[in-house]
Amino acid sequence: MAEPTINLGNGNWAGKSDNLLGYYKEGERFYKQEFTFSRSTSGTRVNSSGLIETAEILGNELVTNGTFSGVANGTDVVTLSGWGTYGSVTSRNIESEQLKLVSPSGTTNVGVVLSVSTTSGGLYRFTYSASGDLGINGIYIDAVGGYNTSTEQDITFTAPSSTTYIYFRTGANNGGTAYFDNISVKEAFQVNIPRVDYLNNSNGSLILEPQRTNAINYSNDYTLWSNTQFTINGNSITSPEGITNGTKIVPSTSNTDKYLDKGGFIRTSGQYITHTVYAKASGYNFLYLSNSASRLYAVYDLQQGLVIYNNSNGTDFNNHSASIELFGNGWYRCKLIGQAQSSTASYFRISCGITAINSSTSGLFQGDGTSGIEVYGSQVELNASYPTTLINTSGSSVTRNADACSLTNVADRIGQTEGTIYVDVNILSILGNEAIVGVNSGGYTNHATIQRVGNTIQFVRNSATQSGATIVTSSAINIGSHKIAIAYKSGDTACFLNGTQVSTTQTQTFTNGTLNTLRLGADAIGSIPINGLFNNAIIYSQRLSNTELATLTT
Amino acid sequence: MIFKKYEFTDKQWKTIRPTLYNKDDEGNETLIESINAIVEIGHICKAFDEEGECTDLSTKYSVDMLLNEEVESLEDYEVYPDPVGVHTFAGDDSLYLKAYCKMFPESVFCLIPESDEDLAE
Repeated sequence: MAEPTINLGNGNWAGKSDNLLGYYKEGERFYKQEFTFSRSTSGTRVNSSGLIETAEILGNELVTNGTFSGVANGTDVVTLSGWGTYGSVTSRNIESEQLKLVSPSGTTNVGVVLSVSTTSGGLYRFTYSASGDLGINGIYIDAVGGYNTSTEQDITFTAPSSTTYIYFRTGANNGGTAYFDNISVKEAFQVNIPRVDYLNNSNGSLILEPQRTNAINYSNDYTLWSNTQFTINGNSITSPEGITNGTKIVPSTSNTDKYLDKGGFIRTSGQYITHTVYAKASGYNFLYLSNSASRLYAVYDLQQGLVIYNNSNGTDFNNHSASIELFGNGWYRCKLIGQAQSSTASYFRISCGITAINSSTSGLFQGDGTSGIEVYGSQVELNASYPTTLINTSGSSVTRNADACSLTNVADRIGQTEGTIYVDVNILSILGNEAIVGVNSGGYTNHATIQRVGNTIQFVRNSATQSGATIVTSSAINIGSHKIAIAYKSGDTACFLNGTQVSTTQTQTFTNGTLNTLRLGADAIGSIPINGLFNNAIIYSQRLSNTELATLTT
Repeated sequence: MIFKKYEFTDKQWKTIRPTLYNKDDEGNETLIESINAIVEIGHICKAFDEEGECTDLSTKYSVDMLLNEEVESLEDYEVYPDPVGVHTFAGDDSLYLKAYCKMFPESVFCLIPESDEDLAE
């Protein structure tokens, strides 16, 4: 088979800390990708450890020797670069390459201060390890806030000025002996960072998603939801982020309805709404989700990973669906989707039950006072018929912008009179239309595009000889991974889907203007964006044989 | 990148919106070059009753935008709620604060306290 002229991902995406995205080839080295990627907001992904995180690239280390490597015992830390005095402490010396900070019991606002050169308004990640007497406000970042040294050792903050002062204190800012080590501050870049996702794929996939908004605020602070008969134990359990910011909700022992509501958004007639939450059994197994009580609702079994029941009332919602996806460590992402039939204020309701009661949207039973379910990361996406990755919110609704990925000025690597386009993509929705991959001349004038139209794959092109022509359309496909290829050449154009040729070999004349751009996940002008996970996209400057196409797409 | 918030009457937005998009023959829309992203928040509900119904709906149509460059034709419609209002772009709060503080440099949201041990409460 011919050598690819462009190979994105190679089925083994990888990122490097110096802001490169590429792929690893077994037994060989890291291959950088040259494409242009943009998304003018941050976004989340599942990392290679299986944990949800905001995708980010870290800049250079801004702390000089934060590990105190090679520093002699007994050295006063304020003699080291960046460190300064902060009130009267008993001692602040280096001991066994750690900072040992001792201050009298009961004293406040004493310790040491670390000054770091920052850019006002820039985002920074501050990490450290600590032991000994720790507590609330053991760390204070000037003009930012206080942090608990027991639980908050990985802090992202926005720098207030050109110098950021980080105060280290003992105990709960009330004296004692504390040890600090591995102190690091790095600028964090979260905008325009590609997201390689490892959920259900240890080789990684490139996430490309359309713009979406999480319409509810306080998506992970259930203490700020309207609460009827639940005890909310916030930040009490390990969440899908791998940190202690999950919430256990415990129904009361009263034999009355129990639910948590979050409103603040308006449903629009004719538009779909998608609701999601991560949930885990914790004494009780059944999760109830609904929009505005019994208007749209579903019941989930968090032990078996099943949707037990799903319905809508037909007047406020119809075209309902529900699904449950295993995330790992007992967590499931539970999804509830419906098409609104009226336009009015709505709320997202969460409840749980000791049994599955199909017609119920709230737990009407006596809790035992300790059993419940664990929840994390609620999301409501308006005008959305499928869910996308988690968008965290606090005091406002939040938008993640669309991912855009293209490779321009590569006419020499795209076959002009013949060629092959191949993509291995996990399709996450079969509603609406989306462009998967294509080559073009920088617009619609000349392009060859693979797109999904409803539940079919289409191969479309436009040129001086073929205006907006759909070359072939596949039979129905399902959500999931698909390997798709089009090999083009005048009089000999063939399309393959999952090892099988779609329709017959086409005999149209295939002439183009100069094809100079490869675009993933959108059409020639960046429209009809995809919601998909890309494992691989390959361009060959030759038309591969049908036998090779069958092999490639199998 | 610039983060701005706007309010329009419904009639104004109906007129202005098409000027912010390019449209192809098939009706597909792409933003004009000076705009990176638009989120139509719509009529903001200022108050809900106990049943969750909106009891105070703004008459203005709210829109948040990320701009690649200033758009002069939109300047008359800019609004500056206290940071960050009811909606933001993920990871871009500081961009709105920058625009807000350019307009209101003396706001409490914009004043950086002097570094002082007394602040370290």
